[in-house]
Amino acid sequence: MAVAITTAASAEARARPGRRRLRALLRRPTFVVSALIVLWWVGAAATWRLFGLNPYVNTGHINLAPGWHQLLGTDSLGRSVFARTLAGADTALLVGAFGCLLATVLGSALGVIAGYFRGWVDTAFMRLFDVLVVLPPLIFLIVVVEAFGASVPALIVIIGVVFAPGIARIIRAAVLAEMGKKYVTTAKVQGESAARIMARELVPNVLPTIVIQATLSLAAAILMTATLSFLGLGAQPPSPDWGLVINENRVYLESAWWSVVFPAVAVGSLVVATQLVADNLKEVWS
Amino acid sequence: MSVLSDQAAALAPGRRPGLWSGRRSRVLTLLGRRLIQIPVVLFVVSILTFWLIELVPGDPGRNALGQYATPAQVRAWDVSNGLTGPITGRYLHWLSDFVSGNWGTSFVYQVPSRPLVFGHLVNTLFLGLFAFVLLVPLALVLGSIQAYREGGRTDRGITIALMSLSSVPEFVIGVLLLVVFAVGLNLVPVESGAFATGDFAQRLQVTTLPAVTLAVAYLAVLARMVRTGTAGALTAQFHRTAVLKGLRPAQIVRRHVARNALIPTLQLVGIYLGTLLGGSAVVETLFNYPGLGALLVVAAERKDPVLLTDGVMITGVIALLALLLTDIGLILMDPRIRFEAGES
Amino acid sequence: MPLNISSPPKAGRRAVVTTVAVAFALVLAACSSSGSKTPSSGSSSAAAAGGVYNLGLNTPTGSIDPLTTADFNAMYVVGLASANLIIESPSGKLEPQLASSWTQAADKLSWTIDLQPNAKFSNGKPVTASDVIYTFNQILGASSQSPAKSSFTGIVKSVAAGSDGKSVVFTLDTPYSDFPYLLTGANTWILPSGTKDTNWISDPVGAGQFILEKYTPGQGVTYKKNPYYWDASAVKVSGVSAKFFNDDQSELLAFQSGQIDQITSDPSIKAALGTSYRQQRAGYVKFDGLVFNVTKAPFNNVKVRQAVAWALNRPAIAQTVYSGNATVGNDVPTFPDYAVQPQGLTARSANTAKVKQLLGNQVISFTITSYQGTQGEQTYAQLIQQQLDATGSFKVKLNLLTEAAYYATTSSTPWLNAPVTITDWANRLPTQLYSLLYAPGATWNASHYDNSQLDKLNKQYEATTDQAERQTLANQIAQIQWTDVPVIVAAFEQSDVYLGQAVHGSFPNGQQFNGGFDFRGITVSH
Repeated sequence: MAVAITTAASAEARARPGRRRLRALLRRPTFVVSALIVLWWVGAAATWRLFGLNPYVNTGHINLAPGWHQLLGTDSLGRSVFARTLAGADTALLVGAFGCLLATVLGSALGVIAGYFRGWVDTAFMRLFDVLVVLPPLIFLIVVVEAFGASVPALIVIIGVVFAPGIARIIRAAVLAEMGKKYVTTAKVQGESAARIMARELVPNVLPTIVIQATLSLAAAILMTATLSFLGLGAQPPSPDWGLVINENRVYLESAWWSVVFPAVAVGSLVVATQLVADNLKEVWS
Repeated sequence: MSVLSDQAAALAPGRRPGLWSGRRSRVLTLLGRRLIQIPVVLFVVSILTFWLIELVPGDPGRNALGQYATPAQVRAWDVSNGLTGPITGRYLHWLSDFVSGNWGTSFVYQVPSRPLVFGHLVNTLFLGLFAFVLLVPLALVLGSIQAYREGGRTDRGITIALMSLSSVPEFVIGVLLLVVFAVGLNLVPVESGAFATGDFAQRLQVTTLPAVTLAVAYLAVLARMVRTGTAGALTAQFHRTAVLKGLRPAQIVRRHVARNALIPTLQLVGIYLGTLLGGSAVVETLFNYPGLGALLVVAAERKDPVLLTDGVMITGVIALLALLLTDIGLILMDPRIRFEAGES
Repeated sequence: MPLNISSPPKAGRRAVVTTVAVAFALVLAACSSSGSKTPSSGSSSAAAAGGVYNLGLNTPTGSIDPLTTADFNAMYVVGLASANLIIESPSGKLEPQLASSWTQAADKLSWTIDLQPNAKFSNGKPVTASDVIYTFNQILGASSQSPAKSSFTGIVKSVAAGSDGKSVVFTLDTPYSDFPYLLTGANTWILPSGTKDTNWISDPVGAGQFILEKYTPGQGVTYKKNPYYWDASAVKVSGVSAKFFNDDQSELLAFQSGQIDQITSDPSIKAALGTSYRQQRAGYVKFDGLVFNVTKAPFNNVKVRQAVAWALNRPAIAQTVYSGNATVGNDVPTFPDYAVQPQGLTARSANTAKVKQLLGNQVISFTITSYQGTQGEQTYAQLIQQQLDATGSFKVKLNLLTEAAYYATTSSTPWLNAPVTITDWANRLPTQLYSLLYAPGATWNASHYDNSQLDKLNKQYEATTDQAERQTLANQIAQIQWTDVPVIVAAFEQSDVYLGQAVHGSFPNGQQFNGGFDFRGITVSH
């Protein structure tokens, strides 16, 4: 997502340095490991069905500890924790990635526009965002999910709308900081169109902030689905959604830790790996 | 990308007094405008809340009387509680109640809504403040360490640790803390209900675990923003110029870096202060802490329009004031943001 | 806002250490100041013999008024401070409470209830016939919002004082031989004459074992012993402190840390606690009915309903959903503690051959609608899905709504209209369950089942007192319910409570509303 924006923007302008940077990236162990982890989860989400994994069927043993027969053990309904953890990547990536992509695009666009034009556009946008900041996001989320359901497309849109104002505020602040700088003034004096200045001058300059916001909201989006599950509003059983699984099985923390620890590790590894990939990209590119 | 002259001019000591008085007038303008805008925003939010809660399935009469009451009885309950009729009429009724200060009764708890909301608000503010006291210094310190060591092992290590920590849902962190400190060591009670009657020491005791849980949840994000802001400031031209000018490191940090690093951070803190009011719901639920977040979640889930809208208004006022303070802080701190006449 | 970012890197490192240390010191200081002596709020004030019993409840979801409470937790809150005329023991026997005895008239059309001579309310005033009459007039009145009203509609004609002034006479529309059981229900707690129901919580007067001292919405309730309770000498605890939990896991942790004295068992609780605590099993609480809407395909075909019934592994359900605290059911809604048990039916068990024989090679697809929550419906739905899918003859999907959405009053109320639903039904008389759940046109008849023969048999059964005749009728009724399977009753759940180390004695009448939340004989040592 945000990573893709960076890649596309720079690939176009400078093809040869791109290859050098790629090589520089591949020499960084944290990048390689993180990228592999992200690829692993994308692969799991796309292909778990092909391997005949069934996250729903009762294997015949309830709360079986990890071992030879069940690599990661079974849960309170005898389902394979391994199969459920892999299958859970599905919804996490769909909702997390697309939700925060939507939020980032929406938030950045609004933030840049508000910061560039200022005046009444800025005021109108900011007060509009205030409405969403004022309505506590969680409460807003509960009401909206209860009213419109918690299907995957609905969650993507909801996460996009809920996260966008926060991102927009921060991007706006970054843009305001850029506006005083010479390159913007020069471009204005040269008569460049507003759209061109925003796209060509401002966006590349606030891109690091955008990338950070995007990666942070990926984590937040996945955690948000978990929070919804905690409140009984997220994915429905028997879905292997990570948030739901963690919430359902935390009562077994003392008696069958594996049913909650492995999905939690899955969430953690995806979130941390995405973050590190973004960090490395940013450092190599600047 | 050359901003050297601009920055140097803005930060030149000689221009300080003039800038300061200019800022004061800008702050006053901002205050004046917001005083008009805030009630408008609140008005829109109240309409939105009232309308959204109407869309939630279920009805208060059914929730109160349970599954075995007949539809006629449920209808009678709804009528006697003023829940029937067009939504505009009910909204206006709520509005006049709210404005007159004579708030209605919560359907879920069957007690007057105002003491309920304010009682819980105080508790949530206490919790939020406690969490902030733990959170903000730690985030500033960790974030700036990371920035000074950007790309290095310390930076990477802190990132991995913080992100791992924050990717564990609050309710799992909270449970782990409870298992260790409440069940294992028996140092604190599991449920914080005793809070309501306790003295300050007891309050502190029962609020410690919820506050730590809450702080952990926000730590990574805040440290991240500090790191970005500081790193950006460190590589900026004015920083290099300052170094070239031979200023002492402490001076550089105080005059230049801190300010630029704090801008995005302050933005985030402003937003999160508001978020914290509703966002601590999970922690409050888990610890049975009598806070506003959990109260509003119940109001939303159980379709209590009066309690929900009253509560949202109060969190709204506080969130908007926090944003206002943030914006004032930004004017005072960053010379580059100019709220000119006709703006803000 | 602290602006101390100006500290250079080295100072920064020091600051981390300092901050962490301060945070820890805070925790420890807070703990040492008051940690050791006050883990539970109520116990400090009560050094009296018997001590204060610390109870954990879920936050009540409905109204807390004697006449209208509907959920178990609200019933517990009201029930501790209130008393019924009669209570039912875990074995299904009737026992005196505010009534000392009850007799049916020779014409079977009226019942005389004698009141305890020393029954008093918590304000010291005696419980009189007029209080009982007032209470039942409130329940039966035209503007009554009490869910109990429907239990008496078409049964009770009028309530009047007896000739001696110490008794109450219920005149019935038709003979009803199990009538006294109807007086054990929730919402039939006796209120002082003139009580305004909607104000009860602000002036909670009742004739129960405890006096409600303080109710904090969303947090809990405290009670002290009621010295005016008719059997007060048998109540040993000096009070009860009920805390509301919104989360099952924090309730479990509170129990493990000794903050509450009991916790209701379920599979996760059982997995965590094992056998290290004393358990008290008591009477039957509920069954989760798998209800088919017989007007909707594919369940308008009785063979499909039977096939589902033969596909279920009931012992596995009793074990997995109710952690073994359940008796396997046979699709007849007669609780195992009821006096007349149907005979002559084949016990259904998982039988794939039978399923194939009923369905041939077709695969039936459908969606089960129920609600999310901790009462077991959610686990039950998932287990049924696993079991049915495993036979290869079914493809099941689940639709688990929020509780509010599931019971919402709309024209398409899910629990009454979806093709197949899972709904819990509390322990009631078989005929009561019939008239609520199976009777043609009944409000809660989610199966839309309509059988005039069954209706006639139930009317006869209600009126009969002859034991042999009742047995015959019960067998005939059960045969129809078993064959037509509008509702699958896979298991009857029993109450099962883990008691903490501090609790001594056992609850004489379990902890259900029909047992009167009876604390007689219980003591706590903390």
